[in-house]
Amino acid sequence: MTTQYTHRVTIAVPAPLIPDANHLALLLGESSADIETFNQASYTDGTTEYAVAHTVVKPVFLGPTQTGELPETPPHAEGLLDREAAQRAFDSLNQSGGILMAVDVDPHTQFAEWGLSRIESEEPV
Amino acid sequence: MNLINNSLLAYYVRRARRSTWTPAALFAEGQQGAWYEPKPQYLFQDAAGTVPVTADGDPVGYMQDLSGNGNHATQSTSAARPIYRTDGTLHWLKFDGVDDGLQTGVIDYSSASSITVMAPVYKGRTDSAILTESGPVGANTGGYLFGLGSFSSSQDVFGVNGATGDIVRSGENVVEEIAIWTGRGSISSGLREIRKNASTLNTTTVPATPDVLGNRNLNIGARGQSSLFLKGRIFGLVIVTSADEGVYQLGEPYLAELAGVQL
Repeated sequence: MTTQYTHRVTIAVPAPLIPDANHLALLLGESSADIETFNQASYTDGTTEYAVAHTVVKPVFLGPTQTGELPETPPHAEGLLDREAAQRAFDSLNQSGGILMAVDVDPHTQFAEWGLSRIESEEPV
Repeated sequence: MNLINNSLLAYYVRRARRSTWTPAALFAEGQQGAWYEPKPQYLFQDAAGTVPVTADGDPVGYMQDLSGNGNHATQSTSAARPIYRTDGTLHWLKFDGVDDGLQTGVIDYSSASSITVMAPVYKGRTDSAILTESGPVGANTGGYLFGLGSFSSSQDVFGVNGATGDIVRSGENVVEEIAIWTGRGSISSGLREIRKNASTLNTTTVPATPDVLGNRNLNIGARGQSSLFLKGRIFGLVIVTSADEGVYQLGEPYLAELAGVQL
C-alpha cells in the first residue's frame, strides 16, 4: 500500500499569531488536539519569536492554498473552532509579518532560509 | 572429543535460546516498563488506535506496548506524530527534530529502584535530544533520562534519580550511525552505566539512597513533547525495572537484529 500522506509542510508562526494559527490547524487537521499544534515559540529571526511545526499531510490539506477558501468545519472541530481566527491565520499566510509555510522541503533547511534559528535555553539534565 | 561435542552443543543451545528469546521474558515476573517495536501491526495513525498504519510514510499516533503493562505511547496532535518508515526489511519511526514525540500515561514505578533502557537509534545531528525520559534527572527525584547529543560537556548521557550529577556520560557525540544504546541504573546500588553496541562506554557509582523511581509519563523523542526533539530514527525500545546484566546481555542482540546491526 502507498501512504496517503504524500506531502510535508513546514510552518513557522509569529508568536502574536499563535492563537489564530491553532484554529487554522484545528480546521485543517485531523484531531481536536490540533488546537494545540503551536504552543511555545522556539525559533527567532532576531526580532520576532516563532512557534514551528513540520508534518506530513494528505493532498487535501493544500486545497485551500489553491482555491483560496477554507473547508467546512470537520466533526473533530465542532464546538472548538473559531472560524474568524482560522480565516485571519489563513489570510496571513506568507504575507509580511504573517505565518510562513513551505511545502515538500526539509524543515531545518527551510528554517535557515527564513532566517530562523533556535532559541537556546538551558535545559536541566 | 566429548568436550568439543559438549562445547558445540552448548553453542547451539545458546543460539537456539537467542533465536526464540524476546523481551517478553523481561516482564515475566511483573516488571514495570515497556517494549516497543515500530512495525505496522503494532502501530496506528491516530492516538485512539483505530486507524492502522499500513504504509511507509504513515504518521504514528499510537505505538503498542508489547510488555503487557499497557504503556502504549501516543500522540494526539497530528503535526507532532513521528513517521513510520521501512525499507522492506527494517522498520523504524522517524522523528523530525522539530516537534515529534510520543508519550504514555503515568507509569507506576513505585515498587522499583532500578531501570534499564535499551534502543537501537540513528542519531541525525549533534544537538541535544531526548531518546526517552520520565523527567529531567536534576529536577525530579526518581526520574530517569537517556539523552543523545550535546548534553553535559557535549556528550550523550544516561541518568537516574533526582540529584544533579546522577548521570553518566558517553564521552562522545557521534552522529549518522545506527547504534544500540543501553542505559542501566539503580538508585539502591548507585550504579550508572551507559553502553553502546554491547560495550560499556562509561560506568560510575553514585551514593545510593533507599528511594524508588517516581510515577511519571514516559516521553519518547522529546522532553514533555515541547523541547529537546530527536532528529533520528528509533528501531525499537525496551525499558524495564531491572538493572541485571542479563537484561542487556539478551536484549542488546535482540534489538541489534531489529536495526540490522552486527554486534
